[in-house]
Amino acid sequence: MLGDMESAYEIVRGIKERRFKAEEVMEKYLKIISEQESRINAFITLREKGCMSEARMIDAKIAKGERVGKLAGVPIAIKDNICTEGIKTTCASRMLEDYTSPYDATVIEKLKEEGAIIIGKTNMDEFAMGSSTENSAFKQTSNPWELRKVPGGSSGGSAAAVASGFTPLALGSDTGGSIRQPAAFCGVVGLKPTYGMVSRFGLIAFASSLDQVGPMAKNVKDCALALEILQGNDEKDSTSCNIKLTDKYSLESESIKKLRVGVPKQYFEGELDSEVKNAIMKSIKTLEKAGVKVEEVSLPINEEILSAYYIISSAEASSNLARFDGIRYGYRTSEYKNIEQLITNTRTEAFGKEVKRRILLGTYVLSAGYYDAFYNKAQKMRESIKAGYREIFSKYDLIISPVAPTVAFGKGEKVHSSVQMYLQDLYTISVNLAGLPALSMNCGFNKKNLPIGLQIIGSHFSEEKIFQLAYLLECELDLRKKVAL
Amino acid sequence: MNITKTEVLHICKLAKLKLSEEELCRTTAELEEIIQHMKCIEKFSFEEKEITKANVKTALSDGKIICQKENITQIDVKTQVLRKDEVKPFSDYEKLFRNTRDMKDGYIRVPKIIE
Repeated sequence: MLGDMESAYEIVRGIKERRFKAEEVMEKYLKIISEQESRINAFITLREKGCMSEARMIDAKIAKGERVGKLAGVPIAIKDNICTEGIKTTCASRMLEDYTSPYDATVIEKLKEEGAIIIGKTNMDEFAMGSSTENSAFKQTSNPWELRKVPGGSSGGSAAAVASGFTPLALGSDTGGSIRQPAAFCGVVGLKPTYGMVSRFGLIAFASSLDQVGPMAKNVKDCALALEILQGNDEKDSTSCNIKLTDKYSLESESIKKLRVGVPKQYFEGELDSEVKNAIMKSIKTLEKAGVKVEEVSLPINEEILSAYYIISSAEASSNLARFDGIRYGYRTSEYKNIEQLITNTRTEAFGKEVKRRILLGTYVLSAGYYDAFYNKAQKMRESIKAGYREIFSKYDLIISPVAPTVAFGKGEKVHSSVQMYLQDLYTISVNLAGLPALSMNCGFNKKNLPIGLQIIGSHFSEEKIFQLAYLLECELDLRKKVAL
Repeated sequence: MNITKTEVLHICKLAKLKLSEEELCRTTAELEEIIQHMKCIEKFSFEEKEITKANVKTALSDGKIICQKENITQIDVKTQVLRKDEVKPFSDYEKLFRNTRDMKDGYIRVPKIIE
C-alpha cells in the first residue's frame, strides 16, 4: 500500500520532513507499475533507470540542506503528445514512432524545475483524436476498474495510470473533453484550465484554438498544486495570458457558502444514463446541505454544438497536421519516385483511420463552396455559445453538469460508429469552444462499481472557485477510500 | 447534399492522402453520415448581429507589444501579449536534426522537385 506516498502533496511533505526518501517513493511506484502495467497498458514509454537517479539527486539535495522544489520527488506521467527532451514523444502515431523531441515543452521545464520526476509517457488516441484511447497505433489501455472497459480518451493512459496507482500525478491535454472524460471514466480528478492559463509550447497541436494542457490527480488538492506550477505566461505561446495569477490556491473558504451554482436542466434530459444522473443529483443535494446555493438554469445543449466543435476542430487539425510530410522528421515512406509521392505515401502509411477521417473532414469543410456553409456557421455558433455562458456567469459563479452521458463503455463497443463516439463529447466540448475552465471528479459509482464523473464549469480564470467547490464535495462524499486495483 | 466518391478523391488530393477502392467506399459513407449530422448547423438561426472583427490595438510597453482584442477573443480581458519578432538561434544543431531521415552535408535530402 502507498499510505503517505499516495498523494503528491503528502510525498513532498514526507520527503522534505525526511520521513522517507524520494528513492523509496520511486521504488514503490515502479514496483506497482512492474506488477500491474501488463494488465493496464497505460504507458507507451516507461523510464525506469533515469527516474531512480533523479530521485537520488533529490535525496542528495535534501541531505545537503539545499532547496528542493514544490514537487520534489513526485513521480509524474506525461501524455505522449507533450514534448520531452531525450524521451520519445509519439502522439501514439506511427508518424512519430521514433521521434525524440530536441526540446522540452514549457510545462515540462516547469515541472522539472520544481523537482517532479517523469516516470513515463502515456498512451492516448492518435494525435488526441478520440474518446476511448482505442485509436492508439501501439496498444489498448484498459480501465483499471474493469479491464474490459475503455479508460476514456484521449488522455486515457494518463487517467488509467493515476487510477492504477502508477503515479500520483499526470498531464493530459483537453481539446473537447480529453482530460475530463477519461478522468470521469477512471474515477480521478482532471482539470481543463482556462484557455491561455497554461502554455501550449511543446504540446503537439491538434486544434490550437481549443487545446489546453492540464493536470490529472488522485485528489483536488494535488490537482491545484500541479496547476500552481503549470500555469503562467510564456513568451513562446502568444495565446498564453499575461495576468497575475495566485501562486497558492486556497481550497477552503468561508465564501463558498455564498457561491451561486447553476445546474443546466437541458443537460439532464435526453441521453443521460439514469445512474449517472442520480449520482450527480445526489451530489448536488449534498452540496445544498453543506450550504451551497444551487438553482436550475437554462443552457442549451444540442447537436448543433457538437457539429460546430467537429467542424472547427477538424478544420484546425487538417491544417496543423499538414506539417507531417516525411521530410524533416517523423516517418518516411520507402516507396517514392518524386516529392508528391513521398509526401502522400508517408501520410497514407503513417496516419491511422481516425486521423485520416478528421483530416479529410477538415479539408472538406474548409474547401471552396463549403466554407460558408460549415466553417463560418460554426464560428457564429461558437460566439453564441460564449454569449450563453456569459449570461449564466453574470448571475452564477459555477455550473455543475455531467461529464459524459454514460460510465466507461466496453472496448470495441463504439468503434464502428464515428457519430456514436463523437456523442461522448456532448457535455464537454462547449467548454473548449468558450475557452472556459472545467474540472471533472468522481461523484460515485454505478451498480457495477464503475466510477461516475461530475463536471464543475467556471468563468475564465475562476479555477480557485472551482477547486473550492470540488474540494468541498470531495470531503463531503469521502469516496477516496475506494481504489481501482 | 450527398458527398460523392469524386469529391472524396478531390479532398484526398488536397490533403495528400491516398485511399484504396475499399477505403474510398467506406470513407465516403462515413463522411456522408458525419456531414449529414453537421448539416443541422445550417438550420440553426443566429441573431444576425455582425460579429465585429478583432479590434486590435497595439502599444509598446516594457519592450513588449501588448495586443488588445475585442469581441472575438477567447478571453475577454486585455491579456494577449505578442513577443518581439526577433530571431533566436537554436544552437544545438545535432539535436535539431536528430530526427531527420536523410541528410547530406548539413542539408535534408529529398527527391528532385524540378525536372
